[in-house]
Amino acid sequence: MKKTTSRRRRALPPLLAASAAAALLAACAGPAAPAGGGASGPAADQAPAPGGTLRIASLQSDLDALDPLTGYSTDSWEIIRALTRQLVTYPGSTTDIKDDTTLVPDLAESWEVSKDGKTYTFHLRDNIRYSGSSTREIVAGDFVYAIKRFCDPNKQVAAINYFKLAFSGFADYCEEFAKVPAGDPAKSKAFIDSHDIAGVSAPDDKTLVLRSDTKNYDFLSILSMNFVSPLPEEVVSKYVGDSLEFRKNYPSSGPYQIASYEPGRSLVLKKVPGYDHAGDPARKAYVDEIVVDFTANSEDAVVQKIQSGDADLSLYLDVPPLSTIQRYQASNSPYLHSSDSGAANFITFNARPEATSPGAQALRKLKVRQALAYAVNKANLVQAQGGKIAAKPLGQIITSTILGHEDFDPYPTPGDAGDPAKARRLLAEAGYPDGLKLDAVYRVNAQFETIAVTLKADLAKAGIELNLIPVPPAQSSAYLQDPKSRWDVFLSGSFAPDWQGPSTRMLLGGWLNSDAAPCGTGNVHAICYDNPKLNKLAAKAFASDDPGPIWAEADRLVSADLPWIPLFEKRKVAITSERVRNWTWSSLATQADITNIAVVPAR
Amino acid sequence: MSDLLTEKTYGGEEAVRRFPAVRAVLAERSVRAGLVLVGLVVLAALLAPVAAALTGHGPDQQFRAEALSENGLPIGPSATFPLGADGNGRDVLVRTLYGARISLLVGVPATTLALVAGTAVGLVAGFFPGRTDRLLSLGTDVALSFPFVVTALSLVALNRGGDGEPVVDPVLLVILVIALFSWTYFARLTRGLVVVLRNRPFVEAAVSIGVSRRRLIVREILPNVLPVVAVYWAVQLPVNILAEATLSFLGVGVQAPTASWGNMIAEAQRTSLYQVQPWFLLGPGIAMFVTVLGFNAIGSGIRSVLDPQG
Repeated sequence: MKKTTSRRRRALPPLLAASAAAALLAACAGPAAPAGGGASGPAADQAPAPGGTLRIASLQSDLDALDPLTGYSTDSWEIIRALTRQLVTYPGSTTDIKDDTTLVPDLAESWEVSKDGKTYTFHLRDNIRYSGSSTREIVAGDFVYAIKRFCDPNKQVAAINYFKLAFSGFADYCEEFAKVPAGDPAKSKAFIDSHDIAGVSAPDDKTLVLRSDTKNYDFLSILSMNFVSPLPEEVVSKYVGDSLEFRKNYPSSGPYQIASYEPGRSLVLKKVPGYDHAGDPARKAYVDEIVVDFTANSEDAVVQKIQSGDADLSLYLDVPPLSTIQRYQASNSPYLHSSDSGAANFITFNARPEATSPGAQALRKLKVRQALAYAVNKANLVQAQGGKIAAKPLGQIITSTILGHEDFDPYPTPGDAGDPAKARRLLAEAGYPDGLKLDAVYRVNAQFETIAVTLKADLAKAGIELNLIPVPPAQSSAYLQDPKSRWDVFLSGSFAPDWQGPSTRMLLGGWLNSDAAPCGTGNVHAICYDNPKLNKLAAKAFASDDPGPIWAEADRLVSADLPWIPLFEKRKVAITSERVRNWTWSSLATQADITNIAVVPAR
Repeated sequence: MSDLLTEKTYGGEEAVRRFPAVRAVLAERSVRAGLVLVGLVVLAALLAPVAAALTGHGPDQQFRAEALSENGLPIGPSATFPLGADGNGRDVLVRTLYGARISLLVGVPATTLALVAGTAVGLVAGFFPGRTDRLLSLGTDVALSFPFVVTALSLVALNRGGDGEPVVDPVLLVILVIALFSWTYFARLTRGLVVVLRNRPFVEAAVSIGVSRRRLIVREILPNVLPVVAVYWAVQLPVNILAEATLSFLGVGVQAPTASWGNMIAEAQRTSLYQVQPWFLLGPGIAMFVTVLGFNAIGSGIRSVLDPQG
């Protein structure tokens, strides 16, 4: 459930009209004149030149996380990628996010898998060292320490369910660790030093053995997430997790180290002197310096910095403003990048047994859910997102970048514009000839409010009246989880895949699988879906060598049953300055890969 | 001097004296101009359904095919959409007119409530130095130190009953919350004025002839304070109209898709759509400007007529 950071917009920008006019003039001057010194064209396929400074304008005034243990937003993952390395990783893709699915060796040079597929033995590279607050060699024991930190009651790893399934003995270890009182780092350290996880061990400094109870086809993908980064215990145990002190004394295992860090002002990353490029096949680390500027606090300011060349990339900017996208599109700018991201939005239902309102009960009938699926005008929602470049209609559970995807829509309507007449007919058949009233909760931010008011207008045409109940983002998951809360539908359901490709586990094997996520607290959005056929297919897929067709079958089965109403798949849109070369998408960050982007050197 | 004052202020025929005051106020040009402006805004709010009928556009109705481009950008002013459309394809003119209702309904009562409460507290604090003043000033400081957003959020949570329905009418809650956060400015302003007035000769004169405290406050101090406070009321009004938008965005009070000026301005800024469709921002912006200008003109006109020092 990796978060895409919600948008924050404030304040009127000065001068933007002027810069817009300037941009327009520049666009009219001719087809995208080459900007940088020497380059024959921005998209020219020549080897990117190393050196220079990559400048990033951040919409938020600080990073939400920098500790690989707790970072679980696409934006924190973008920065953490420059500061950490994993056992295996994705090298980035210059074409599309979904193409970045080939795992390459990272800190592990090679590995063996046991015959039963349950035990992985990793051999670490030679000549790998930390930089920053520690400069010693990275050893296998550092991974063991990092994994043991996962269930520290003071600061738990953000996606713990993956690891409960992945490592033998992990769940038992965490159960013991939960008994350690929070608030005292010394007690946590004592526990970590005196307890072991059965499935995680380091026989010597160069060998790491990871063992699962079951075979999992996506085991390596789970390890590619930033959580599994080596950390030196002698440094990390001195600080409270992810505190400012920790961030300033960051032990980096990646190609960059923190040179200076001032929340609200800037974060400066400098390339590690003498970095061993041969030993890092995934991160080319072209630029010498990466500077994150935290001073722009409105979307307009961020976009303006990029357009004027004061910044090269944005951070925490979910989508550039529609007007900006249009300007780049109109001038056919090569500095506008868009890609399928696999992220999706949908409407979920209050399916927990305690929900007995007329609306919630009506939604337990398949025909009512089908009526809802036909009533929704997906074309309108796509338009509200910014049109084709930003979204596309979706009618199934699995999105286009994920393993098992076979494009289909069990409830198609002409032009995806909905079919109110058909919806009314289905409602009448289900026993609601006079229409239906539903309490509809949505998260209050610009994007979700637009979706909510558009759905209200469109569903009314089919006789479905939505009573909109706004809930502040910070309270929304608590509101949905509280059995006493009054709601029938949640209009702001969304997800982004944790990694591209074989991440089907997240939805069909997780959120919707009642074996993995039984109804109760922890069941995302109170979806409470229970389908024994799906559970059986998921169990079969986990251990399979060819899970694609199994997931496709599960998708056909579940999508027709409508555990939620899919609305649209979001595309990632990014704008850059004219200095950026070798634009690269990162699967994990679902946006720019700052360790593979180059800039035109300053003249 | 004291004779003159006594006669002027405490002479019996009040009714006769008041009428000329009203007439004098009405004779003031800025007051008349202000009344016309405010009257226009009220009229526009009342006639909103007429505009909706004429254009055929409901305030919450979306015209995505007609008023938005394929990638969601709103159109500018045209024959069918006199002020263009907003980001959801709704008519900006119709929404501005409907928005006047909510904005006036929330902004005027909230600001007035704040004025009454704040002036009362300020009068008492300023007039009774020592413990009373210290306690009330401390209370004002405490109220000032409450964070607006956090308090508002906790009020939302408290206002949600067991069945998920709000306990208090959201509009009333918004009025109360806004008043709760703006009375302090009136209190401080009034207290400062009263502290100065307290030691002025005419007050001492009234005290020396044995006028009761209550009468002193109502008859001597208040007339000197009210004109200033009335002008400040007009200054605080737009701030409070915008505060309503902040509250809406937090999920308290006036809810989407209902239009209010604050909501519309906030939406235009949030989405940056005013860059392609400036009228999305200018529509409610100009309406708010006219309202504030009108109330300001009335306030300053009243002041120049009534202020004993003016």
